[in-house]
Amino acid sequence: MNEPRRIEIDLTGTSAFRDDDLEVLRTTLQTIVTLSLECRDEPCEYSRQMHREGWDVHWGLTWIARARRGGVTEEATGATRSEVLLRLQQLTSLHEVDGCP
Amino acid sequence: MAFATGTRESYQQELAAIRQAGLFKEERYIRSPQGADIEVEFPAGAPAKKVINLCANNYLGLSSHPDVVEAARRGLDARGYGLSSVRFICGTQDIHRQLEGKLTEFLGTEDTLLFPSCMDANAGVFEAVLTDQDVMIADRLVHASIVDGMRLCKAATDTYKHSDMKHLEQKLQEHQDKQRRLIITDGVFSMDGDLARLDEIVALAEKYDAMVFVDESHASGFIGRTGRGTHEHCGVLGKIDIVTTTLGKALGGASGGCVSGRRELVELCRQRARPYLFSNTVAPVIVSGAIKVLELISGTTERRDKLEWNTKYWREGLTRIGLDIKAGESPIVPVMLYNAKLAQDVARDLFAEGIYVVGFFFPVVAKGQARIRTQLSAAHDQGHLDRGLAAFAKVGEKYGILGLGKNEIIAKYGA
Repeated sequence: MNEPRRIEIDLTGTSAFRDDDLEVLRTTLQTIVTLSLECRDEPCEYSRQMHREGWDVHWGLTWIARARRGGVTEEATGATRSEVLLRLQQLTSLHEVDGCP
Repeated sequence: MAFATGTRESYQQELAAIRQAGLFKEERYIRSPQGADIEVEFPAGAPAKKVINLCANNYLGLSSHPDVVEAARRGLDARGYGLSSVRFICGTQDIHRQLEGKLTEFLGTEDTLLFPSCMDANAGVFEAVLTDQDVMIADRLVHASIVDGMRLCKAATDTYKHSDMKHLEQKLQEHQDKQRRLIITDGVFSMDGDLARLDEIVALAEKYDAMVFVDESHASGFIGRTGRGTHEHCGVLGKIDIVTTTLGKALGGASGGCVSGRRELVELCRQRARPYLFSNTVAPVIVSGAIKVLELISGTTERRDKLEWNTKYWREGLTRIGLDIKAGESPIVPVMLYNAKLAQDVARDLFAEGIYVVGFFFPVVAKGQARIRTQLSAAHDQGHLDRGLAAFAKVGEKYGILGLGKNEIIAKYGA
């Protein structure tokens, strides 16, 4: 039987978490859980099926950011949080106004 | 039942929220052909009222021109009502290619492809010619249809501050790693009526190896010495890579639009642009009318010159009265009121005085920038304009805004 896998995160000396720290911690744990538990046969079968249908499939964990104003939603994805927020800002800047017909 | 009570109620709540926000759009029924004088039934059920139309995109007054109507009628007789097909199956008649040729010649480009509307042209063009290796860099005040088209395209999106050439240059520098760069702008911006600085944009495009896209919907037919558009006005005819424009404004006002520009880009649209591939062809009656429109405006600049005179007269008149207008030279003349309710009240009172205009406010324009957008037409004569000015003076006096600038109007009514 394999040794149980264990992840330890040393939180000593970090009495005051900032929101950013918590976000990093949450994302790290979520990534580990996702890769450990969810990446089993089903996703691979989905991938194989798309491959059979001619799609060249790549996947990976990514940041996503959404902005909503009234009925308009913009969404961006990217490798880092700053990248994704920059992309989102670029998309939302197209909506300064709706414009006249 | 698919449309269950709860579903219906949820939509009713959405509509109620739109009304509550003051954003509910109501149609006004016009009982006459489009023109300087129209008959409007408003509110619905009221007797039709004769008013002067100062809010149409009928810049050249060709929407109901007898020669255009007659050409359309002849087209109807000769080529039928509809084609029941997209272009590439059995929806292309000789007159479609004839119109595309005339548009190419008029716009000073290499080739042209018709779309059901310019909204469709803008929705389809970017996806057809760009990939995820490319970048689109758009002026932040481009038309909503361009924004939609950019959202459908996989290329990276970026923007530059409105007409800010330094900011555009900075963005072009930032995106030198991309395979292709496309600068995107309106020729004439629909809200303020200001013109893009196309000469400077083209210079930057040449410096940084970028292509240039211009939507000429509020320019084709009347901006520039012979009405070719903003690219003629700015001295860059033949240097714009993609022009989109509409047949639904100055060029007859019916419907239809086009992508015009570099031969290869237009051909790619013919192969890939989904609104072209999956929408019916432009009806023969409209094609026939549009061909006549181009013949009329290619032979003389009389209408364009009259529109220019009307614009100057109207701008000077509003300024003399003491109203606060956006400076410029286009026939889009916004009367600035800054306050949404004031804009609606003034528009309502002007209608009572026989002047048909509409108040625009957020989110159509930026917060605190509410206005009445007046639009001139070559169909107006001096009498129309004088009656319009008299009505604006009367209503402006009622609200005590004559002679007031932005800060004073905001101090009085809020923004």
